[in-house]
Amino acid sequence: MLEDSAEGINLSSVNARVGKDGTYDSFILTVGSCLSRSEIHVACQAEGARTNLSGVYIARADQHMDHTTLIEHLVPNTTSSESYKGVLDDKARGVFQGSIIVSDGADGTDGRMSNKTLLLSDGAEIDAKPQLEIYADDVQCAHGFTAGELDGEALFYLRSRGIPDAMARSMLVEGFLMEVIDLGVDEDYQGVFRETISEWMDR
Amino acid sequence: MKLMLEIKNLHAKVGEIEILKGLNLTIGSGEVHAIMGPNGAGKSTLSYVLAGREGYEVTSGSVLYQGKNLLDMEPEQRAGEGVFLAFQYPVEIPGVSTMNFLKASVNSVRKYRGESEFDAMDFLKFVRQQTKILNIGDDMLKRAVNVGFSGGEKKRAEVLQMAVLEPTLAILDETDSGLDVDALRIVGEGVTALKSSERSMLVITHYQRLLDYIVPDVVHVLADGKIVDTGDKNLAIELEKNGYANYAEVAA
Repeated sequence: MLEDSAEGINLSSVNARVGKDGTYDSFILTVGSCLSRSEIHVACQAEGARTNLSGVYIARADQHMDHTTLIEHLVPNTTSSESYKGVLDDKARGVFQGSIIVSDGADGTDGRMSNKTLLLSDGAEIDAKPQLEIYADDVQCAHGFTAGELDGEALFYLRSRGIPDAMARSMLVEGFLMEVIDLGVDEDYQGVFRETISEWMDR
Repeated sequence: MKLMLEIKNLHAKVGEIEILKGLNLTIGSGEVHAIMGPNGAGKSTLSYVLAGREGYEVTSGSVLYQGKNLLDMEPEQRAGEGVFLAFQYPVEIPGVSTMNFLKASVNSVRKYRGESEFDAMDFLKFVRQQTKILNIGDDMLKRAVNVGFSGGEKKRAEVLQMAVLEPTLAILDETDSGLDVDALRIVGEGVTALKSSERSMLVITHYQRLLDYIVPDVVHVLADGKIVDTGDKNLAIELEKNGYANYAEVAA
């Protein structure tokens, strides 16, 4: 969890090498600091290696949050999945750069990447650069990227059930983000992240 | 007779297109009214206007609900005042469990009505009284709202919401669409169990079959944005036989 003060600058870098049948899992919740960049580089370097990267970023005011990942599939039969979701308000800016490189001969690679952002104001911006470099033949790779506003239909549905507008918006934002947390975080720790998101929404 | 809903000369448009063209409808307390009509007659528009959906603009006319101007109220106020719309296409809300949604909904409405809010245990007991009738398992309550629900599950979930929100005016928008015979029976019985002298219902449907379960006091035919015929339940049976062809001429 990255929750530095509003003036803070936080740069982090992780290098992981995953051996035979090993797994590297990572989850990051970025909520603080004015400028942050989290860079994760994972090399799947033996058969059966697997990595799951996930993250949530929530920003407002002039915050700038950058999540950059590079996953290398160097040998056959390795797996990666990547899911980042964010909510940006005011003039906040998010950056997502996700690269998957599948080496020549790394057949049987399964790599999936997804990045979804909710923009709560016209001034917020997400710059996303998904990148697949595939040099092997028999691979399954997919990436998906979306950016948009809160779903007006869902908002009306909640309000038509008596839930006040502000609360309905919070529920939708939390629901949007909780999908990643439910997948990426052990059940024991989900509550901590849920609370942090709720507090952020109430501010 | 106490008046529940009084719609006078209602005109409404979606975008630039006028859909409701002078609709009049009066529903008394405890009455069940059915509105039938061909596709495109304005049935769903009427239900959205009554629930307060954005983008449905009332250009003239009035809607009084228990003597109050319904059109002035926000959607959540209308729910608090006792108006409930069962959606034709219930909306999926990923990441929000059905249980949390129901609790937020019921407690918001109770707060609006000046009643005490339920705690988690009391709420569970309260919901379980209803889930039994509708054949809804705890498993369904844990899943995200409508996500991955079958057509029948979605409609049962709508009726469950209606049951726990205890509305005084329930509007059912094509609740029978997408249901097989068994699901139709469960939904029909669920709704029938909610009939009371204090609660009015407006059942909007294309087909007569739902009305076998929810027997209406009055049946209206809506065509081209207006009520063009009104009768008793036999009118629905007649429509089932002859279709809406006769009314196309009236409307044109």
